[in-house]
Amino acid sequence: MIVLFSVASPGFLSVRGIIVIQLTLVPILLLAVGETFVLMARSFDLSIGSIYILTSVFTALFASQLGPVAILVGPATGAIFGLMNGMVFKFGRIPSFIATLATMIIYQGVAQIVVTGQYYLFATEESFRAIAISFVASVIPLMMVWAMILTVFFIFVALKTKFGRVVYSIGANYEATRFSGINVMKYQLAAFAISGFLAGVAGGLAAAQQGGASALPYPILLPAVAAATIAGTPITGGAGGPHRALLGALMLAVLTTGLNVNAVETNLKTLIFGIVVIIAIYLTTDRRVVHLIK
Amino acid sequence: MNVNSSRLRKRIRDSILILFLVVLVVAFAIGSSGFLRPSNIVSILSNFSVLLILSLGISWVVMAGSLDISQAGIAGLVGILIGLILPVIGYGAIAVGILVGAGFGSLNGLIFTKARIPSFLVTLGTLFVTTGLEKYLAVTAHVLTNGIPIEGRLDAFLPTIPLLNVPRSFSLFYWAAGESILFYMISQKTRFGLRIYAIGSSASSTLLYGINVTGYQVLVFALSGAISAVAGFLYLPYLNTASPTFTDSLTFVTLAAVVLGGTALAGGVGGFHRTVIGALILSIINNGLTVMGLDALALFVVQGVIIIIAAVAVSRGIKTGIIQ
Repeated sequence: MIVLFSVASPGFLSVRGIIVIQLTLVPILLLAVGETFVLMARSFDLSIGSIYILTSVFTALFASQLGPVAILVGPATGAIFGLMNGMVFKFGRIPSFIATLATMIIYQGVAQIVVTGQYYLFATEESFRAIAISFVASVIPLMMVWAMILTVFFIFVALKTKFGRVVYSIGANYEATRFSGINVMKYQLAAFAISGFLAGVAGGLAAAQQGGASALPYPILLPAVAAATIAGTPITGGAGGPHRALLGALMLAVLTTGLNVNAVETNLKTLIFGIVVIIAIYLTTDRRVVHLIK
Repeated sequence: MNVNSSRLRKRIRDSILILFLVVLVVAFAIGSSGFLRPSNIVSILSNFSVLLILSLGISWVVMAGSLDISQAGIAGLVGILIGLILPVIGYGAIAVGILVGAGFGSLNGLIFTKARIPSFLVTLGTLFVTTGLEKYLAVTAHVLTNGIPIEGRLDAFLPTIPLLNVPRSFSLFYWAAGESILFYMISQKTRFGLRIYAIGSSASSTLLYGINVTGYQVLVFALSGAISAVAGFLYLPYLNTASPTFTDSLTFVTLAAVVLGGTALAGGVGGFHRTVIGALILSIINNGLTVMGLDALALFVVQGVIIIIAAVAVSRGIKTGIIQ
């Protein structure tokens, strides 16, 4: 794909092109890695798009008082919102799909209430914005560095720690995990908290990158879900992982940027996006692991 | 467990749904004098119908144990398509539209069964494809912001009854009611319906009975696509415009109506009566809050909270297996 786009448009592999790919990649990657933990445990989180918006609004709100420290507001509030998702899901004993659909509506509403009166919350302090947009080696935005550190950390968590193994096992066989004496709820809550946390990191970085935030709905949920799933994490849980999300997000970011550079009409882009999603899933679905093709 | 107790449980389960509806209606009626006004009830039923006709297709798919989130995309695309070619080829446009819908549905089913990809992901892809195509057509025809005026050309499909003093848009309710009853009968009384439930409960056991599971699955997705197309077509006379953005917000709400009614995403349980109740609960929440004069901003928050309460109340009486 990268070769294809490079041939089609010389601007694609320029310094600018590479930076644009990274800026597109960061939010999709962070949201996808978070969503992956929820999917691994066989739940679903529809609210990450709203958490992304709400946390960017909160971050922008505090940026003028806290300066660079405000960047921590995103992850902190995001983790709380994620935890709330988990609690609604577990204590309400309702499907996570419905629980997070409801919180998706709620968080979006709260974001609009917070921004009321102003259309845009500016957060233009240089020291705050530098967290996202200063460059390492002049081609890597700092926000990319943060995103990669977190991604690598969570890949490690998923694949190499007991926590990760338990989350997989909840997704693969909930009852068996429960009967083996594991406090399943704790892990499920943690998975939702991670999802909210990473959406919050993405929201905070977005506020810094753009120098502010608005409460307008931003269509990032479906691309993030696509990124989380196209490289082989099934929504039936128990398989895949954040390393797959990294691959998925990378594919989508390259695709989006490539189509942009080649000036493809916006809506045709969505169409091509859909076809690529299906092809990618076809190629990456591990049919030995995904027992239930539902 | 003997037959009597399971029957009793089923009855309790159904009555909890109805009870919740009644509580909701009473609460809103107390909260606002305008809620039970005939004109408002007409408005509730109109909005309910918009949601329901798009939720019926997905109900079939969920009963069969799969997922389909492409409805809103298919309905939107078909709407724009019909709007564009209606002036050229007349009523034939409707047939073309529904065929396109059924075509995308079959494609969903074929990719799902032949390529063995989870249906959620196939239909996510189709959602992107159809939405992209819908908007592309709209942009190319320069109708993205205003839509295509229908100018009453399809009014014959939403007839008004002279004695009832209700707006034309209410007629969508007849379609919603008719389709729901038809599908309910098919799902409960025919071999086809029974087999769909069987596949939803256990596709592998159904296969062992010598039933062509793949065929039924493709059929269910084709049906879902066609039903979505019919919805997309009916929105045209309903709005009197072919709007390229109308269905955008409906993607997950339809699935919510199905699940809220108690049709388990795991398949094999639930049915159309449940989808009807789920859609009714969502429409009443939406309308009741607006009529009570709630601030537009607070509306979202309260709406979300009530959906949670509804889901909690409803899922109490229902055995949905593992709550995912």
